[in-house]
Amino acid sequence: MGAYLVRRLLLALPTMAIVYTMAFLLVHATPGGPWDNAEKPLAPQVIENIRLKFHLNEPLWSQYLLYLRDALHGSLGPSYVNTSRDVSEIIGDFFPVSLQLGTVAMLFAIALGIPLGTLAAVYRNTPVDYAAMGMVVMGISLPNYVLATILVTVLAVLLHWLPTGGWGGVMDIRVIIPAVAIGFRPATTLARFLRASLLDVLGQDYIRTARAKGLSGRGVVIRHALRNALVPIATVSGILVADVITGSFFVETITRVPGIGRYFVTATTGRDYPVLLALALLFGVVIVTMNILVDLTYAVLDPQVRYG
Amino acid sequence: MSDERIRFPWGSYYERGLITRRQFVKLSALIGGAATAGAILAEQQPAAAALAPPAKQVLRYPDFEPLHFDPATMESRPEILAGMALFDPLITFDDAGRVVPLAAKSWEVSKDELTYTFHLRPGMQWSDGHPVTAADYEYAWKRVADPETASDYASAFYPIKGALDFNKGTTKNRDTVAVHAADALTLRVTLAEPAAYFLRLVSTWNYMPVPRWQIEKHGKKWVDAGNHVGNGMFTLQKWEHDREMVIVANPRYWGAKPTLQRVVFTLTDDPFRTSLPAFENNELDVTDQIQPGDIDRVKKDSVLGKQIQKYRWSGTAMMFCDTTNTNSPLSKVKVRQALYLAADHTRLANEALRGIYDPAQTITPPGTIGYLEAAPLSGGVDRARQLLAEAGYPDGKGFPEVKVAWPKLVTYDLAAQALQQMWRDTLKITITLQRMDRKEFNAAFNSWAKQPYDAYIERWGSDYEDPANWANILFDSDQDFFHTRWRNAQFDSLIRKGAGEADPAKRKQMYEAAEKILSTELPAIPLYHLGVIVAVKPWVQGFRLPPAAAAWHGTFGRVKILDH
Repeated sequence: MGAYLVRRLLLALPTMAIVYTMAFLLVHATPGGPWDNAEKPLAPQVIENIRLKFHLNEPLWSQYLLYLRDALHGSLGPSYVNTSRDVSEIIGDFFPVSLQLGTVAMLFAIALGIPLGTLAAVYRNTPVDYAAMGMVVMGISLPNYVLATILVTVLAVLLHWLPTGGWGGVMDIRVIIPAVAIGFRPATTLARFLRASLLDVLGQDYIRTARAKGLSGRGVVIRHALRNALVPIATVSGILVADVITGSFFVETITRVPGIGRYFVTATTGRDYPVLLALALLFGVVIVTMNILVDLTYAVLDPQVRYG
Repeated sequence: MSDERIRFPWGSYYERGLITRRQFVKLSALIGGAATAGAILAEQQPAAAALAPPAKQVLRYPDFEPLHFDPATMESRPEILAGMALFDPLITFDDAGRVVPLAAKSWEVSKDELTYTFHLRPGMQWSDGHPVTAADYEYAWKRVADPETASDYASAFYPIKGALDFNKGTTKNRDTVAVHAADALTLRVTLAEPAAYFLRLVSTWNYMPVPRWQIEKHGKKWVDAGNHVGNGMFTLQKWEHDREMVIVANPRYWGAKPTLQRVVFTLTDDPFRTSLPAFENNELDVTDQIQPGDIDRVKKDSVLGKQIQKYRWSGTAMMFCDTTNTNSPLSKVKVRQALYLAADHTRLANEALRGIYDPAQTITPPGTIGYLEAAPLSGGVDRARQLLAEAGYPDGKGFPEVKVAWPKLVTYDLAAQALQQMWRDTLKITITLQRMDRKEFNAAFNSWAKQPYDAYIERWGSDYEDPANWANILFDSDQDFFHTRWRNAQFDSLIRKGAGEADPAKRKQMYEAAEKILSTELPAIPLYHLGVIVAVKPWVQGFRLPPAAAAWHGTFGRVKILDH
């Protein structure tokens, strides 16, 4: 197990190197730079001073190495858009918020998705199944920003039950709207996968055997079927979690959550190179970590899987 | 001086006696006379309705996340609006264009109009108790000009002798910049050449002082809440990034204490869209700019409809043409005039843009010297068709396809589509539209000569209401800021003389003559003058935003919260 983990972590290094290189090239290939301002005139000398300060006059390969060297020393540099803030500070301030919101959203997704998928499978081809799958279709076709807008309009503006937005941590009621908006789609994805995999498991011989031995319907489903049916769910969850905890630009913006998701977009529109690179690396780290965690979960869920 | 005939939306407050501004000591002229005044900007009569108790004197205001409150490098609304409450420049300007003393109680200008001597008020303190001295201003001004600071606004200091050379790195000696604290309360500045607009520059945020000891102690972290020190009416109390920021009344402020005790800024990256629902749910006291898509609903709403306020913003949106590219029909004056006359400015502003902006017949906006009440060109659609025929395209025949680009913005989208249709209907010509991502547009703009477009739509909003912030930087052929490559010797000569002209009447004459040339030759076709519509809760009294950012100094000082 330990040796397996070390091997996986070592393998992550070339992955991250590729992520960094691709991100660096893409960032610099996008038209327009951080100081391409058309609204206010920048005197040529002013632009020159800025370029010197941020090493933008040096050749690309040199900038590539400079950033890499600083990043390995733990310094992600200052933001170009807001030079009084360091990129590590931005990530330190805002990533935890997205992480917290994502966790709540994921808990909501599991709390809704697992029962939904289970019910749909157990009561296959009954109105319960149709209702559950109707929700799934809605979850897949309804973008989370539309859902967030609907929730804000109904729950806050019309009914005055909840504030329209803001952030006060996971125990604050303001977490409800963004968490539901972000978590709804993963919930329906989980439900859909779980239904399919549970139907498959429920048709297996050992389930029939269990039933024949006189076990109750509920016991069979929960104790024997569900555990095996969760293996493919773990695979999907890894991607869903990575997606959810890195934040959603639209939902964070609509509900005024100070998360990292919005920086994916604002840094792109602002051509904030250091922030963009840091975010690409962060996203890479999260995906790699989730993949390793998912692989480790297999060992817990499926006794046939062993790592050595 | 700004045009007195303009009616400001807050004029009714004066008429109803809700605001009476203490009569400022008359300043004989902008330049030349020694001015002494004891006026206090924020002083107002008590309001008619009962005021809320001090604990409830809180304004909840939406905004973007500001960059930081460092006067040297702040540049957009969120920084300037709160920043001008945190620092005092030496002077500011009122709505009628008169100078109002702030940290400087008086000043003199030498006979040759080159040397300005400012006398600071004695006894002023920074929010941490340090005395405010002339040296603080000297340090701050040289710091903006310092190439190390890499300020976008360094060029705002180029009129000062030596600033350009220091900023260019020609000399490393910061003392070659001709700003000098003669003693603790006297600041002397020498200009490279006479600049009639210099006091306007001094009223802008970049000319505000900075606390040297904090900068030297904390480096770039001096702008964080806790380290930030100012000399303004308010101080920075709390700043949770992208969430909430609080400024509170500064007990050490030299002037009248504001009634409002706190401003709580709700920070988000899209206040335009998120502030209206929050306002309706009573989480905010003021909205941000209401967007064209929301305007119809807001106007019809029985509650919101009564809470909206419209402000003029000093600026104009225009369609800029490349005047020298002979492959483009827009290089012909008559074609540009035809397009201008065939555009129904009233319909454009009132229908396409839902009345959030005002029709613009001329380029310089109202309130800035050079603004013309009546456009030099007239004749409407008939004259437009005639001009197009004279240019060689009778009835639009043979008119090549014209490509117009613009950076993504809802109001530009609406304006461009409306113009496309107007010109197709009246002149029978086809315009191709190209919307671009903002940075992509900026990159194209910065290499405009190589771009395949005939024209683009963009706007300019003034930092301060003076033609030095208009004609001289935008249309002077040496600057050619908008890449129209338009050159008119008479225009250039008028505005260059106007920039240094000390006699206000002569200055006005020169700029109006220049504007006539500009609005006749139309290197840029004016589309609309800028404005903003916001909604304000009925218990908020005295809130308004002056038309140019340099005048935002007293914005929060004027606000009073009524019992509610």
